[in-house]
Amino acid sequence: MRTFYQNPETIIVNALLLFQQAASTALPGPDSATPPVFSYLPIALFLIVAAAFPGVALLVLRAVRPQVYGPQKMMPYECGLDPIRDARERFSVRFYIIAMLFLIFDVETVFLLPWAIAFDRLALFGLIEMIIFVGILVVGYYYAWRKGALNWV
Amino acid sequence: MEFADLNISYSAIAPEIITSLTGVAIMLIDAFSKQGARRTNALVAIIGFGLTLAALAGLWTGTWTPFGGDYFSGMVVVDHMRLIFSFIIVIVGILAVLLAGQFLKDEELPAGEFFSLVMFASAGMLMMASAGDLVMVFLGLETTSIATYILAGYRKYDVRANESSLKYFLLGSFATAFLLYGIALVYGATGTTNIVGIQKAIASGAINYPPLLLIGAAMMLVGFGFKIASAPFHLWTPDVYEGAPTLVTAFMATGPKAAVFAAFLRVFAVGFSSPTTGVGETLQETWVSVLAVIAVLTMTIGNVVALTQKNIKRMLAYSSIAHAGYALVGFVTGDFGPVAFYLLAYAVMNIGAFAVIQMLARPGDRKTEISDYAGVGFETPLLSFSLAIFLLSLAGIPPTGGFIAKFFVFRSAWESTPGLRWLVIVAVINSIISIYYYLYPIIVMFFRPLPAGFSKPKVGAGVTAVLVLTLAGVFFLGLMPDRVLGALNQGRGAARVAIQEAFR
Amino acid sequence: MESQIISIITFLPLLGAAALLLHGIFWGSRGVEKARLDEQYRWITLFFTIATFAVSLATLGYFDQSQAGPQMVMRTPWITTLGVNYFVGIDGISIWLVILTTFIMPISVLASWRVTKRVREYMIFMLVLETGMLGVFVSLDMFLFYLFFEITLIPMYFLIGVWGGERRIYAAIKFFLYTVVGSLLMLVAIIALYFLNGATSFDIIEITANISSGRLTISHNVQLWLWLAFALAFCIKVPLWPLHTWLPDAHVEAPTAGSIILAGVLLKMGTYGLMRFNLPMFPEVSRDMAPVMMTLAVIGIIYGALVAMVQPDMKKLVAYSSVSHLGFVVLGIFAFTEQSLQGALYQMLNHGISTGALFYCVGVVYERRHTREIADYGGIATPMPGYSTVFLIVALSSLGLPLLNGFIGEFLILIGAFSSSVPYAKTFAVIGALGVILSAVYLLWMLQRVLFGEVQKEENAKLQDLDWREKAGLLPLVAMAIIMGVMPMLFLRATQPAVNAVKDAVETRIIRAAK
Repeated sequence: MRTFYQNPETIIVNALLLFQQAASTALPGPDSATPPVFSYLPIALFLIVAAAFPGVALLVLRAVRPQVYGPQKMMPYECGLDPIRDARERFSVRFYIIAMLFLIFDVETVFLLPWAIAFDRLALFGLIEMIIFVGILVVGYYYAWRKGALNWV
Repeated sequence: MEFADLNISYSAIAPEIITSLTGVAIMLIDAFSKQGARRTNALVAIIGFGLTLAALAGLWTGTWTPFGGDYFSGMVVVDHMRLIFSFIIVIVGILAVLLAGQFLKDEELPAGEFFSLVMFASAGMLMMASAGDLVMVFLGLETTSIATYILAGYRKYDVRANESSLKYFLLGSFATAFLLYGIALVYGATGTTNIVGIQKAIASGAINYPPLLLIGAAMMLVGFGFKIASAPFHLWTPDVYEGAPTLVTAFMATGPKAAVFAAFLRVFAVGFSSPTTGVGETLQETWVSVLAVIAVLTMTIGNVVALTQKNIKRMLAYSSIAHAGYALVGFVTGDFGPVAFYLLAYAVMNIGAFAVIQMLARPGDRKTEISDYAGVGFETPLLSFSLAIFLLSLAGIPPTGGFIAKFFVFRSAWESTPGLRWLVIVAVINSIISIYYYLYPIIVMFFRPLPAGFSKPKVGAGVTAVLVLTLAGVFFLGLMPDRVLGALNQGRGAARVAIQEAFR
Repeated sequence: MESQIISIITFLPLLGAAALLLHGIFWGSRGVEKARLDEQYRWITLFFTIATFAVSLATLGYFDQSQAGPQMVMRTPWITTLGVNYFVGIDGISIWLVILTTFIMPISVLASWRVTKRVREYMIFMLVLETGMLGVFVSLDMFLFYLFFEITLIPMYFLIGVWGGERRIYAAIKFFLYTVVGSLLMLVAIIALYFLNGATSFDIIEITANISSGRLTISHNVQLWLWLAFALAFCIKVPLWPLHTWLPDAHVEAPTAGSIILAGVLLKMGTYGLMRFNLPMFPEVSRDMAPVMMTLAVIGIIYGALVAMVQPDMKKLVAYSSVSHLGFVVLGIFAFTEQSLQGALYQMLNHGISTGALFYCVGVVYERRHTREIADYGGIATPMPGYSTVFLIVALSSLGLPLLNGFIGEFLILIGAFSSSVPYAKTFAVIGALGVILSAVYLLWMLQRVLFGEVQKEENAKLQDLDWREKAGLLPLVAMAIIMGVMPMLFLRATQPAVNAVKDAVETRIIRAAK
């Protein structure tokens, strides 16, 4: 059994669940069951905590850390080459096309995983649907290829 | 839910499948051919739309799929309303493809992408018309919108087209976000995204936090209102319509508008119509009266501002806003018939008018000021008399389709509820206002002298076909509307709601 | 044949328009010279208008003068889902108006023989206009009526706008907008009436019968609004003072044939509408509003005459005389006696003949001198004796000289108004009678300044007299003026039953309401 030290986030989840119970008793819905909106309450709270965490951390560190400024300290890299021009640079538009193509296949993976898990229940129907889906992606990929989206000049 | 409950029927979505596959096929043909196969692609697109029409006809007769059911666990419905709007969408698509040939040739633009984008946009529109679920509505809307954003900026090196495309994209995304947020809130309140399910939930009174439902419905109203260009959400329309290539403007103003109206009708006139319980009654009364006010605003702003326009595309953009208002007058009767007929007539006459404008504007849309039309009347009789007929039809002068459409809307609104009769009077006053600006281009064309240096535009076969088809359509709808009206009447019960009770 | 004849009359001109269109497409592309083609277009148009006139005369053979209801009817479902029928037929009120239309049209074609700009389109618009006007008079279905009422606008709009004078654009728009404002509100009234009648049909005869038999009762308030909507549409068309301002502009700017048709037929659509819709359908309100309408009519008579008197422009003078004359018609309609209604109907025909002829006469000298200013003429009786005779007869018929047509109409209207039971009707009749004197003043004064005296200007000394074509156009009009002046019963007998039916519809309802 994992202990508190090994898994510190359980304490937060437990706290949220407690809070949710309190909230649902305090704000009853039209029917006695937990209203669907409030079942998302932990997520909302988690979001708030997640958003607050970096802010709190930064503030705390600012108070705690030693503050030493020197020419060496202000450089982007303390070791290695000195930067010679502005870090903001225009990328070639090709990067975006590649990125978008990557995104498509990324989404494909996202789609393939749940299908693989429920493959036995979806049976032939699922297989055909997935072939169509992959087929459309192949057509799109081929189209992009023929149109020269993969050429780097 | 078990897998068997999904109620899978491929024939129920055959039109959407055919349209999408045609789009994919065109992409492949374009990729394989060395130098853009414009003619082949146009032909494939026409064949694709023809097959879609056949599939729709098959669904109408109930040959493959029982009529009136829903499929894919309520995602897709097969009823009169869906099919009639689908017919309108396919007609718009065919006309756009016919017009595109000359446009692409004159402007030397790539053809494959254009046709496939039209096909994908049409597929999205068909999805919207067939949607039985909010998720499906959203899916269709996005598919259509993304394709249309690109089409609006299809003339890549034209600054106005870029402006148009960007504005359309930003404001369109904004509207979609509204819609999506509305869908989320409605789901939160009712626990379902199925439109009939929402109606049942409201009728049974099982609503979590009624304000959530009302806010959600309002958000969706805003989202749909944006997309159909109704006031006060119309501000993007003139800039976008003016800047986009004329052909795309014609397409945007008719097809997506009809599709969004279909979804709008289904969500509001079916989903949010339960005048029996407390929340449902409030909701229905609210949206009907809000829509009535929006209709008045839309008609009035559209018509009054159109009076001052000097550019014909901008004028027709405002006219398009006004026509959305007339359609909304039909909408508040709770019956899809007047709306569908109105949008059909509007699509036919508007595409016809834009076809003429495209021809007279020349490549690059250079001559779209109304003053550019001086004296062309008797020089290019086919174009100018066609434009005159389309404008008179838009103004609602008999014996054109525009007149019957207005008449049908006014008649239905007068019949539906005494509480909404004032709306008819407002609409009639608006029609009177509109006549002035529709007459203006006719005056310029026929009554003003021709400036020197006019050269006749060459009208190709595709554009001629569009003109013949739309002229025939305008007079067919004006003189023999019985067939269409009969078809609309058949499906009357499907989407008709008891708004009368809410207003009694 | 009997049931189809009305449709044949109505759509024969449209067939002619189609013939012209095809003729132009076929021959226009084969390098036939323009002048020859134009000549062919004129003859084709003349042929179709005369053929229409000939067929319309055949209706007289079928017409049963003792019947009040519509005859030669044809009724078939048209747009069943909207409850619209194709329902046409003629009765005593419309028969002479139909024949007047078909009679005026060939004359207008002759009057526009010298049009050289876009002859084909001009003639097509003329023929479409004829179909529209005939359709208005023969429609017995409100929807159909509205349809034709609007259709007449478009060709007239083009005739004024393309072939008109200097301020033609302004005149054309004004004409169009004025009429449309009225007619669209009438559309709402038509829809409302349709639903009040149980949403079964737009049948004028059925609704009229239901109202006069008491099967359909409309509350007084609703009746008033409906009456106002219809009356606005028709009073603009008539035009009744103070809605007349479009008329002088349209008349002055229109080409000669346009003015002839406008005065001869288009204005009658307004008075016809009042007799067909307002009186039998809303008798109580008509009765209540009669003093108001008569007041406006009398103002129109006097105002039109006074303004006509000071016009320096001949065409404008005739245009204002129209306002005056149509005031008489409205006065007659709202006096609700048999004589006054008969007189009103007769005056509609008279006005068509006489004013049409006056416009033709003005057009004849305008073609020669390109001016309409009275001051530019003087003494043209010397070079143009034939023309002067015709002009004189026409003017006399317009001002109501006995033995010419104008006298019969005005006399009947004034007699009828004297015996009318409408409050103050006698006063209105007396003031209206002043208009007869005034019309003598302005017309005779104009004749004197234009025709008689010494020839002042050199250009006028060598003016050519009427040629065969102008004679062919003007002589039938003169002949009709004389025939209608001498033998009024020839015409009045046919209208009597229908007019009495309108009168009875008003009276019986009022008697019932009084009980």
